[in-house]
Amino acid sequence: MHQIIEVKDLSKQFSGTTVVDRLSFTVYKGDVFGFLGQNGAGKSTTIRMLLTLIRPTSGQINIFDKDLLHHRSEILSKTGAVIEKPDLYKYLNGWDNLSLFAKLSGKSFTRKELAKKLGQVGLENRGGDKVKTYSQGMKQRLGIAVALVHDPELIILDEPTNGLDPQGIADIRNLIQMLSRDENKTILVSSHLLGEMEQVANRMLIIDKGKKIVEGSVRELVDPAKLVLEVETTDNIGCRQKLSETRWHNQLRKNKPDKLVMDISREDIPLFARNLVEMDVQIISLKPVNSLEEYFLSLTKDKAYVEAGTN
Amino acid sequence: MWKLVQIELFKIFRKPRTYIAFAAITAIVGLIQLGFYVDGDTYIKFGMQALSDSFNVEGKILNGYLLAYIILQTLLVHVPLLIALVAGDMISGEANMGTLRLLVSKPISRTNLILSKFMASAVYTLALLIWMAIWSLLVSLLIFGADDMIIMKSEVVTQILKSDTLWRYVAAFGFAALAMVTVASLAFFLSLFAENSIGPIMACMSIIIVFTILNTLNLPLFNAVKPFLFTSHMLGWKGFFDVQVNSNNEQIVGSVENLPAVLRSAGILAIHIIIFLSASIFIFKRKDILS
Repeated sequence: MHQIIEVKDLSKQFSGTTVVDRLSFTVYKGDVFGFLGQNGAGKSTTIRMLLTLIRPTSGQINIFDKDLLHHRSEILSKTGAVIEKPDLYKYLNGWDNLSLFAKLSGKSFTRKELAKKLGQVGLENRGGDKVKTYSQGMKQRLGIAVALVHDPELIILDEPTNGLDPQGIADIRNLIQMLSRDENKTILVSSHLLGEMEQVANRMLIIDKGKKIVEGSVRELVDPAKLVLEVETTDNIGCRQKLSETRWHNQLRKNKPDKLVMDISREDIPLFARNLVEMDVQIISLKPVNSLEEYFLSLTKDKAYVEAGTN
Repeated sequence: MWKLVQIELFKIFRKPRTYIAFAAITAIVGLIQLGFYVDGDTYIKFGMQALSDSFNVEGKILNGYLLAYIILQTLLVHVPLLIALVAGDMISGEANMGTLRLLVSKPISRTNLILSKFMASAVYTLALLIWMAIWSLLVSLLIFGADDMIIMKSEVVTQILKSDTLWRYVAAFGFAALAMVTVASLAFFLSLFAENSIGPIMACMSIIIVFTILNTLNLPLFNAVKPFLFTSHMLGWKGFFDVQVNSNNEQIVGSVENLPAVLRSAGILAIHIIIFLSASIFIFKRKDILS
């Protein structure tokens, strides 16, 4: 597969504090690459280094097989980005913002082409209004339109669903899927909405405290057959006692005595439910927890625990 | 580069705050003109009191040229604030709005970005001075007419012929433009270090005030640095209204009494612009955009 982004041993220090620590990862052509990490993990700093907003302390970034620092303009002309909040010129209208950033990207478009770009993000009827009258969601959509206006090959989206309502989030998800599927764009997207990420990303990177925890395809990292099941009954403590005498006791998590949380495979859930009924347990709900979220939390929590333990 | 400057000018002239300066100049000049139109003769009689005892002064003393001189003298001290209002916002305003990171992530070199922004603020400064010239000179000439210009200084009275005056104003406005671009370059430089425009505007004005105070203090410690302060040279435009005289004490038409001093002042201002702009480029190229 052809590499679009190749990051090698990238580090950034601010006043002696290491924010990104020897980070390496690769994004291939056509990837929707999920970039995950808790707040302060170093995601935004890494994205800013990819966009030359921040100068790395050490390490190398190659994009489109070229060194970013030496071929900056060429690389950025093929890259579109939304960086954290979609801040635009509030005193200008949507058209003017879009047209202005298109020109800055080295391209100019007809009104019709710009209308198509606005239509892609559902703002075709609000282009003439000043951005200061837009809702947060509309600003976010215009920010995405600005990122896409010059038809970039690589799209970098930093928390693109921030401030959007559920419909807006679904629209952005569909847009990302469409850009990847129909236009073969390479997309790097960071988000804290892990469920959304699981639905759109084919590969992902998880970082914590500036260091890579894991990188790989979502299928490799998250086994969809394995789930975490939250069980709620009328008597959780009694149920736990009953389960401790059955084949399920090894799968029962012990860190939450008042709650019933199971590691279980998808196909075992019906059998487990039947067993609970046979044990005369009054079930209120069986809730499978998002697997990526569980995986993410397990990785970052374990890391925090190990580091705390070694200090 | 021209395309970038056009974009920057588009942004400047779409901002409401840009027009504050134009409105302020129009209002102030209009008020001064109104005051002189209504009560100018009394003012002139009072000013000419000492002269009229010894000389018979004929003609239209209160004319457009004189009024333009009075307006320039009054107004050019305050215009730096109006210049800083826009130039101090060029980088810090973008950082405050969050658009700086979007700009820097576009395929434009940081040097070109700074140069285009600076050139746009210089164009704004020039536009403001042209606006000032139109109101203070052209409108004054229309209202008060043209005649020889009499300027009274502490020990000298200079009479400049009507035919010898207009070019002096063109030169004076050119010099004033250089002085105001120096202020713009200072405010622009300061705007690199802030994330809102209040800081650079206040800092720019504070520097001008402190330097102006240093200029007025006649102490040996400060006398050594005075020639190097840009504020010492900002009023150099007045030099164009000092006329050379020949051995018979007759005016030499088209002359400037101390042209080398005026040119030296212009050179020092130009050096300041180059220093502030070069420092801006140097710092911005290495700056991490964290806003």
